[in-house]
Amino acid sequence: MSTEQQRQRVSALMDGEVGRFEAAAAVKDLIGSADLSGHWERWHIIARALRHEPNNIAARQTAARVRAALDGRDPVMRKTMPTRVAHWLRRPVAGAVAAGVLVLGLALVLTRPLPPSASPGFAEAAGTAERWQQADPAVRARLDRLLVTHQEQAAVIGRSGVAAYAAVIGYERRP
Amino acid sequence: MSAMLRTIGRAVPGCAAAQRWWPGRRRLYAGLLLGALLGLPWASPLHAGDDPQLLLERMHQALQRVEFEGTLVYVHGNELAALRVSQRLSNGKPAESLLSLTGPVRALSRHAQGVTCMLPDAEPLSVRNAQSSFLRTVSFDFPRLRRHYGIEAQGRFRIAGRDTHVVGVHAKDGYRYGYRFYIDDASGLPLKVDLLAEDGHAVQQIMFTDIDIDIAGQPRPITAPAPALEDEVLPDADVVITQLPPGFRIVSRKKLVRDDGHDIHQRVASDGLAAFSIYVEPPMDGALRGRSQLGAVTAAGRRVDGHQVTVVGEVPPATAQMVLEHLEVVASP
Repeated sequence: MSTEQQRQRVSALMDGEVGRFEAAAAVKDLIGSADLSGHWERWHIIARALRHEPNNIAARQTAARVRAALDGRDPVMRKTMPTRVAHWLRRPVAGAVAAGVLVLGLALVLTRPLPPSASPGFAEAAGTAERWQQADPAVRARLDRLLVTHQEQAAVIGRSGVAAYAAVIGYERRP
Repeated sequence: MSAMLRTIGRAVPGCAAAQRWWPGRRRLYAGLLLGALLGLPWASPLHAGDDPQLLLERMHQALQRVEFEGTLVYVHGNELAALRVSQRLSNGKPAESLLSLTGPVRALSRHAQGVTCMLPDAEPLSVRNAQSSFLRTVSFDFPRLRRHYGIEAQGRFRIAGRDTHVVGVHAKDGYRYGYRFYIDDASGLPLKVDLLAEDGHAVQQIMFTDIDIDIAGQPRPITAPAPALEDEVLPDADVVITQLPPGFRIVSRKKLVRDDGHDIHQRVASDGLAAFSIYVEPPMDGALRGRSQLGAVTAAGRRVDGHQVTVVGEVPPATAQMVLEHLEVVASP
């Protein structure tokens, strides 16, 4: 079982509020304690759920895949993994993953329905500094035109004025 | 009317003398008072009180009728820009101009004929005015709005050295942004507007840092309420939107002509406060695939049944995504 001090240290690690030596101790605690690793997992899942960020369940199966490899399908990997880590991966992480999935499910039930998640073909533009995050000036020009046209049509329902165009003129690429 | 004036005269010492010559000029002053009571409702700080609906109505009226010039800051994310903006009335119709004070020079002018916009690294952009949009503005439909927004007065605050009433309009779901309006007591103009995500954090803010207001600008006649905008009749449409986000409905349909002669079909959907456009057109260069943001404005595009479909508006990405996923083009639109 983890102590309150250990939990606080791991929590501080998650928030990026620990010094170098304290961080090393927190990582050591995390590796050595199934209870702490479970906390770590759950805190991250809850934080992502609160921020409405996707929780990729498939990504959490990494531990299971590693465990399967260690169980005999990848002898090289089994030899090179430290025993202590392997032990950590076998049981506690599986429990943590299960607990995490449970918490995620609970969070989804308790919170209001989330907007539809991103789907293939609806990818966010690459993070360029240009307007609309679009490197192609033709796309930027086209979107500007569609936006101004939209604002003019939206004036039909009375939502016009300076505020409607603040983004058009106010937004500019970062230096 | 005369009884009311006499009451005012008794209550206000300076008006007592007025009663003596009241009978002789009854019609003239009755007319003036009536005009003052009916003609300048947006200019009276007592008109709206603390009622959030009246404050929003007053704001809506002021945006159409008050002249002003000032400096505006625009904040989105960690980015900040300053703009010089003005609104003047020309023949009773508002004409606006915006000029960036930070970064490359950007300018926009909105007038009776449409919008002209100058942006760096691009050709000047001109868009003709939507048909009679200057004359056809719709007041808030509060029963409808309240289905998807919570509206409440949030007290007082000073903006640009002026007293304001704060009205919060909270979105009840993630398909629209909420708003917080800081409405000038004296003029009814919104001096600060926060655009709020579902969790309440501001995704965009605009705020005047200084403003000169001419309340006595040229009031134009109050136009008759616009006829109710009908929902789109889906079975007859070539562009079939099988599902719009809750509360949104099509309020405008228009056919535009592209530079290469092809038609662009535009639908505007609104929930009474937020709005987005759906553009359907033949494929072309510069088509958007995926999603882009311009501050709080979302644009999302994809190919649907051989046509380019682009959704643009000040709505969350989930709203644009939902539209794109529930749209079919059954024939050449």
